[in-house]
Amino acid sequence: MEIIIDGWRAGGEERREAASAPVWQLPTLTEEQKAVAKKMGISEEDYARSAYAGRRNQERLIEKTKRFAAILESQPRLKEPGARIDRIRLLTIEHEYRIEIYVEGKKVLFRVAEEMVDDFMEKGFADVGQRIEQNLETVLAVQGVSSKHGQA
Amino acid sequence: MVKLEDRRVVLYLSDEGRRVLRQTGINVLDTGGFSFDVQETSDLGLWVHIDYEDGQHLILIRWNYILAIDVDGGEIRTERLVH
Repeated sequence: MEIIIDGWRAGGEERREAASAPVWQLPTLTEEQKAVAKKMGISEEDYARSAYAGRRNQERLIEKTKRFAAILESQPRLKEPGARIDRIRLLTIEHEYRIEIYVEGKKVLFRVAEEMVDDFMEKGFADVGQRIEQNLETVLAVQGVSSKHGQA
Repeated sequence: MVKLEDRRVVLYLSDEGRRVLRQTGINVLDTGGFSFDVQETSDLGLWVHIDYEDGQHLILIRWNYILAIDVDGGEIRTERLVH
């Protein structure tokens, strides 16, 4: 399975970490990034701190996505023989997960709002977890993958 | 749909927007964009972080002062899990 974090964000926690990081910990900027820093009207160090915060944020998003992947993989439909998750991509700018699943030889695209994942995994809203499961069943049915009871 | 929360953006403001920002004590040049970290968006505008001497403040920049927004999308990171 492939996990892709497309882009980055930086919340208060990452910004604070970046602000206090020693200069030697900051990423070295490419010439392109230096040009962008100039265009953005910020110093190269500020840009490097922003990139540092973004990478820290991506590490957290990777861990969150791994936990979400494990939950998805535990769904009965995805434990059936031949079923697998190929790719989970988080579009950070849209706050949306796009999940590529193979079931019964068919590729199915399943989309989940990141907010639903947070509500379920971080706030413990069990009903949201059930909605994600129901949405998966609906998407599989609509895209022509028979249900576990043999219905399309 | 694009969501700007927790993103660094460059805002290009109208002349009136620049004048208003100067009133808040921000050093605003006559040309170019201004880089901000966005806390939240609302119907009124963008809530952005500003560092002052006493700590961080939030300022609302109204939509009608914003002419264009440049969003730093960030890098793509890929990780492969082996089962």
